[in-house]
Amino acid sequence: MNKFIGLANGITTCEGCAMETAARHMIEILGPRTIILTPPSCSAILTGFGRETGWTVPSFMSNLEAVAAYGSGVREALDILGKGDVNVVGYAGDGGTLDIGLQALSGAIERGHRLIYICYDNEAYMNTGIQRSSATPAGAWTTTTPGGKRGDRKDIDGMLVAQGIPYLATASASYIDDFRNKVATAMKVDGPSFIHLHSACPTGWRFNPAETYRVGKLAVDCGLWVLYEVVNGKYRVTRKLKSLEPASNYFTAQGRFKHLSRQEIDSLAAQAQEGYYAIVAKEND
Amino acid sequence: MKMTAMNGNDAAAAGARMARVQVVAAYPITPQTPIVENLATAIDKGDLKANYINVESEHSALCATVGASLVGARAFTATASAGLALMHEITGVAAGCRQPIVMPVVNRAIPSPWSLWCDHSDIMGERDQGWIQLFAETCQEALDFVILSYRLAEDKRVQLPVMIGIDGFFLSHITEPVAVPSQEQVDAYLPPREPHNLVLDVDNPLAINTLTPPGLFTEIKYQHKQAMENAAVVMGKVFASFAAAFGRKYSVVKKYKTEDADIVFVAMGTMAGTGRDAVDALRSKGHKVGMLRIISFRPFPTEAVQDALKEAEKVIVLDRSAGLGSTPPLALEVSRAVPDKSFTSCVAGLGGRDVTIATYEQALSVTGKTGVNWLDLKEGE
Amino acid sequence: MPKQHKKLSALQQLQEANKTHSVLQGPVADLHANTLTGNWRQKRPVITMDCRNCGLCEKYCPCGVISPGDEIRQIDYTWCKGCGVCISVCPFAAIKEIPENQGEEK
Repeated sequence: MNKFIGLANGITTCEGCAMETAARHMIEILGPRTIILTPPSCSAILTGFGRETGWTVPSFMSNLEAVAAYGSGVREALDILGKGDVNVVGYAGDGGTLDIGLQALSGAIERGHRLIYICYDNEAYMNTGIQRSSATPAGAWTTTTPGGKRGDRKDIDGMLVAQGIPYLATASASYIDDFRNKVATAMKVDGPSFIHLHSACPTGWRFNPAETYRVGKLAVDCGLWVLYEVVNGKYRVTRKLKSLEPASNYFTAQGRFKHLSRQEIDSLAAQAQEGYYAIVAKEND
Repeated sequence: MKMTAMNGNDAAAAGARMARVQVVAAYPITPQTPIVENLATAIDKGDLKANYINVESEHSALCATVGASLVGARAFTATASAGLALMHEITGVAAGCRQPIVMPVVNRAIPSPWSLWCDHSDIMGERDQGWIQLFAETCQEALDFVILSYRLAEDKRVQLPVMIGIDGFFLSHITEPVAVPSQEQVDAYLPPREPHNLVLDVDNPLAINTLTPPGLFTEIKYQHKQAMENAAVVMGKVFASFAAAFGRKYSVVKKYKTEDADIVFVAMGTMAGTGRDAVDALRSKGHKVGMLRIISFRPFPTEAVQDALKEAEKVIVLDRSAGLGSTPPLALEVSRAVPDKSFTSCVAGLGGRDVTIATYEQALSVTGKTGVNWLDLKEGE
Repeated sequence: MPKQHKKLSALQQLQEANKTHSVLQGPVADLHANTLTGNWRQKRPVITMDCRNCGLCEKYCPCGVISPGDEIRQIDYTWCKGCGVCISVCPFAAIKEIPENQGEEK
């Protein structure tokens, strides 16, 4: 059987873009009866330029803060028009989700629309040229945190779980099968679902594009980006680690952390380990 | 036809109900709130088959309305003042993506100062966003304009959203007798929406609202300009078919004793009704004055205005927004339409101040004075 | 690239439909993206006979240009940007990188 191709090949994303890799798998799982909403961001490159689009499904470029709001209207209209089987999917970056889009996202989740919201998190405003977002991790260089970001990233997952979202999952573009499973699960949820996808960015994180897969995988393997899902408040870690890789390898693989001292890297690495065990502990709550 | 006592908000809501809107996304704001309360109740009771989205902001209200419209639903929202300002980013999208949304704007001053009360500073901020803008004067019009606006907006030659200006409190909260048409009459006049052009449809996939290069942008805007020109023509046809169906005649302007008038007042919304009383009062004192009310502000009915003012020597425009830094918006439009007339620009009725016959008398007294004449101004306060 | 055409047949139909379509009004895209991103490539990944057809490179190729062949995976160079992700994911070191100008086809 031919697999469904949802995205064209000739797309002008950066070389080694994990957001693009994930988008190909995402749309293959979602299938042709899907409407995609992207904000002006890296994913808007998929939606198109001029008369050309990357998608083979209908898509709309929303305003940056408004993917979930447009999605709410699309969902409710489809339902009243008898097209309830069509998937409504937002594919937005961390800036459009954790920062400017948080209000609309929180509102849509509270109302309970059947929406799949996938946040590809490349940890800064990459499309405008690497500016700090509330998802930028502590210590990371961006063009607006030239000395490294102070303070930690916003815990969007904890916030949405606290809000009572029926399905939330984290995922990584370097663990594609896990991501595909989670997209498939989200499609079955009778309500809002949120997938938080760690999306390595060679341009913004300052590493060779060929290393996209390895850098993304290191984040998971060192416990910094934990793969889990939360179904109606119940945590389940989908990739348990027998042992944790040294997180320092993750930090030293990227130019955005190169200004950090050994001591600072060790401190961040220790936090990463604690973070992993904190999530694992939630599984047993 | 059945006459019912209702206020402007309830009349607008009745119009939306009888237009069988399918999605309502709205956020409460005074003095608009009763419109959407009314619709929420109708949906809850099963009187209207629609989905109501209790959004968390006006910005999201218009986004959700546009989203619903994009998949082919007849979509409705309503707002006022700061809510409309918050929607500003999306009013451009709604019009630019050519979505036939109808949205009453229950006119209320834009802060600051904070005000709950009527002026047109909110809707005037949207005048160049590419929406059709109609101004109601009566509760009957609030109902009728919602129904006929869907017919206008959904016309294949138009495909533009419509704002209906309803003066806050002066119209939204006053009760008048309203001839309520039967649902059958409205159904015959306004068939279900047939979505076309930019539609999110899995059977005919399009990418809508893509980033547009300089080589295409101007042409897409030009399509929009042509649609606005088409709207001027189609509006006449819509008014005519409405009159045939319901017996109530509307046009882009409303004239009162302009034929033999030396001086004609021009205004919009409820203050035009006061203007007609002022005309009678002033005529009894020997002034040959008339009243011209602009109903369609966008597209602006230049020819109809020229025609209505052709016999007048002098024109006095009363704007209900300040137009700071230049001539206020209605005065700009009218002076452009009739550049050779003796012209007086006045500002009145800001932030809910009453416009009375005395206001018009004062307007008459400043005839010919250059600059912008602020009426009813309390000196020393 | 006939294969690509076959893949995107739905979109091609759309293109055909657009020829007869009355002009759409507003900002809209109805043609499929086909920027020849292969022209960006500075280094060319080449899949050697060491390939065991496991498909990991196909799975992680951002451009979606790797597909199953008879014995080994194959790369569609029309769109391959040459990012090298396939080289780094290959568990068998079966993908080599050569300077673009040494390739057989450009």
